Amino acid sequence: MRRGGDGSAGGLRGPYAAFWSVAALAALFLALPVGAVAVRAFVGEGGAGLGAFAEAFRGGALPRALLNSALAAGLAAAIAAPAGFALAWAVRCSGLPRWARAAISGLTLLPMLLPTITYGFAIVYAFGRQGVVTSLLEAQPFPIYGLGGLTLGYVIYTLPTAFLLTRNALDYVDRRFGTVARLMGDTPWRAFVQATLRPMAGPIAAAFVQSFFLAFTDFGVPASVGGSFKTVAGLLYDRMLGSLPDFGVGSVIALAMLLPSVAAFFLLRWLGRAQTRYERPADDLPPPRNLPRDALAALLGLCSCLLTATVFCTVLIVPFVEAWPYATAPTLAHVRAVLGDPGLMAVCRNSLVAALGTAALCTLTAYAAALVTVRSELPAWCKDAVSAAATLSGCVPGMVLGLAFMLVFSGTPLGHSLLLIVCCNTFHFLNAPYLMMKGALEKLNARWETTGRLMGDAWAGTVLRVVTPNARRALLAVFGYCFVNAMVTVSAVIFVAGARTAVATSKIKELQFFGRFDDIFVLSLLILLVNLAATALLRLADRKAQP
Amino acid sequence: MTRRTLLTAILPAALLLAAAPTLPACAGGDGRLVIASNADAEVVAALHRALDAGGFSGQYLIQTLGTAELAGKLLAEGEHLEAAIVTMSTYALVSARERGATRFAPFPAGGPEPLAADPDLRPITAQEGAIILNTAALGRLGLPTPKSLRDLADPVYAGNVSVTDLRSSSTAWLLVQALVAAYGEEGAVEILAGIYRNAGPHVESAGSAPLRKVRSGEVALGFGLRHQALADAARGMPVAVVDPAEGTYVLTESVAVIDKGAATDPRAAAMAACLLGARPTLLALYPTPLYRGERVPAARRAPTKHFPQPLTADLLARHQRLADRARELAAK
Repeated sequence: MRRGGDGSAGGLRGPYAAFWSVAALAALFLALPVGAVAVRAFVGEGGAGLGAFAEAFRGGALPRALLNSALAAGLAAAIAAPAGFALAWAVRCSGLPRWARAAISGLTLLPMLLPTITYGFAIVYAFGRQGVVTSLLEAQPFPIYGLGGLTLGYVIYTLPTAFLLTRNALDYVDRRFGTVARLMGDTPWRAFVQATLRPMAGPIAAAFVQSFFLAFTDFGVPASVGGSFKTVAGLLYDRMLGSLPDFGVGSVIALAMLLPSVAAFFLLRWLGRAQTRYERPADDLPPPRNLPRDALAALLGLCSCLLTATVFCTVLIVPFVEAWPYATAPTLAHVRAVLGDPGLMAVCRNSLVAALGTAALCTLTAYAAALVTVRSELPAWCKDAVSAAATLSGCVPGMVLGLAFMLVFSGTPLGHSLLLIVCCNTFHFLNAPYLMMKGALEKLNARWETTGRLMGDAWAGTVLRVVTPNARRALLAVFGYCFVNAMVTVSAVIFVAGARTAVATSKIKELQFFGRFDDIFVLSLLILLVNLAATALLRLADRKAQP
Repeated sequence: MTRRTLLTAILPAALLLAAAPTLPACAGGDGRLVIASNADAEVVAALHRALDAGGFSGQYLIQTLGTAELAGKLLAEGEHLEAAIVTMSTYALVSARERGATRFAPFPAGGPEPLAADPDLRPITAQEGAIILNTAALGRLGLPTPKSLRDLADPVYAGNVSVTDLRSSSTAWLLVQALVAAYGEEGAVEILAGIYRNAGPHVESAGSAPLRKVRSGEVALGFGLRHQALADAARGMPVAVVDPAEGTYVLTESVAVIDKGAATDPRAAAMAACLLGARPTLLALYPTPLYRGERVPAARRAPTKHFPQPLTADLLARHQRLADRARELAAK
């Protein structure tokens, strides 16, 4: 028997190594920066005190903004989570032809491949007074500034994540139970509830929480369609930066934004307890023929595709006309101007390097974190610490993390480096990859490690030889998620990127400042193309990884 | 847990840190000096030309940032700012210096003599605020042409006005200064509330946003930067400028060299001085004299006024609270 192969403390060496790696990174790149922000809330230029709190709460703007954000984000999550599940169901459990399912998946995930900044502008260009849709309908379909536009933007933003989370979980729900239920004489609805909805309740709730926080902390959408409906992210931006930056008040608002994270932490933990465990179901058999079910699936898919296509057609139209809406003659001048920009190749290379680095580091970190929480026998405090770090990362708005990085790391050798961008992105995104990894690992047979140990394998050996091969599709999905997000993120990167390490999205933010929307859409299209290529490559890899 | 376990864990993090110094080099540690600026494209182009004409071609890199980002960076990073030279709103530079966040090197002696003296700063542009109109939209809606800022609060313009938020945009300060100087603080709150009520969802965060909305016809009128609207009009767009009866107020933008002690780039002072060579071009874009001996054709010149008090961060904070009150009043 190999050393460390028994159940003694030595058997925990592997898990502890994974835990301390995650903990060290999280301490340096999450706890330290966020702690620095927390300190700023209490210690201002005039010494320690609660002055910043008094200033932040003066006039009731902060509570109102918190309520506004919660309302819009809650509405969006209440739409996105069930809609994401419905689409995941249409893709995974219906008898729709393969191409239709691919189209639904593709178009549902499309918004993920574009920077958040682009959505808001796409909505304005589609539904605004001079918008593409408005000019087709000859009337504005709904007021886009305020709650309506905000909710629409958030739904577009969070639907792909909700879809991904529920689709991944659905992969592990054994469909044979549904077939059995039907054979036993259950009605279709009852069979669906028992065999699909019940085991999916946890993932759907997790998707709701995740969507809520994505929307709650997003800045891109309210920046363009928020109007006078002030969100907490907008308030944070105005106070933290704005024409008269006040880090004290900004930090207080950032802390107020973090409060819901505590709720999320306990909520997600509670949801985790209600989890059903299955063997990895091997069946990829086509479900039995059922016309009404497939018609419903097709309808759901069509709605989603229509929404995406309507909003994003503007991204395809605006950059190819002279000056929307006044001169609508087709032209390639904007595309040529962007491609002819000398700094652009460097910026795109930076984006690619940062995205690849982020994908690698974030996937490894999420995997290690998920291994610690669901597939190790470490004490509860280790698991809680990792879970808390992952949850915290999901609740810290990118703006806050980026600004915190700037406060902590500028002047160090890491300052303005691509490596710092990679680390910042990793802890900005970590939550969703962690949840995805955790969801996948939880569904795997819980007895492998025990079996491995009895066979004389160390934990790391079992992880490498048994768990990893079985989780490789989830790993690939997480890698893709991180890559794509790193390509499209702007909120944190804007503070971390230096003059020489600028990335495509910080360039977009710069162009936004100068109001060059044609160029923004061209760059968005470039990012979209890179992401489409990456997604296609990953899909190939995924096909090879299929058992 | 053994010591070896701890080592295995800390090693990756240590490696990351060790690799860090090489990374900026990979990204292009080319010895070029960084100039951070929040200026508009045409100003940046003028700065480029001035530096290239001064023989600095290939030795610098101009990084453009939004006003808010640059102000935040200046306060948070201070002397660790990547840039050696900064150009941005004069009051923001002065406020960063007063708060002890950043120190500036004394501006090199010689060169043109500024009208407003500061040992560390030299102004490069003057931003003026004005009422901007889409003449086509105004005509289509049958709305009268406003003459003063007070007119913008007239309910006939409801839903057709766009202004900026003083919390995020310094352009809004030009509006608030004019109102406070003309009507006192309480009068200003009342009129501002009326304007916000008319603007509804069109209270923007970026200074150029109202003009963008006016240009596209999304709204018929607004308060924006005078020189930008004049440029639009010159390009033949249905955009016009009205200099408000209350007067046209001015915010200058300045150039400064960050004092990084021994780490200060020796070329920074010479390059900063060289930037002032862009003044003739900039004066044509922003028609306000800033240096002794500068002249502007009377037709382009606005009836400028200066706020009776010095433009400090404290004054801005006071005006921001005033604008907040106006927004609350408008929301009722």
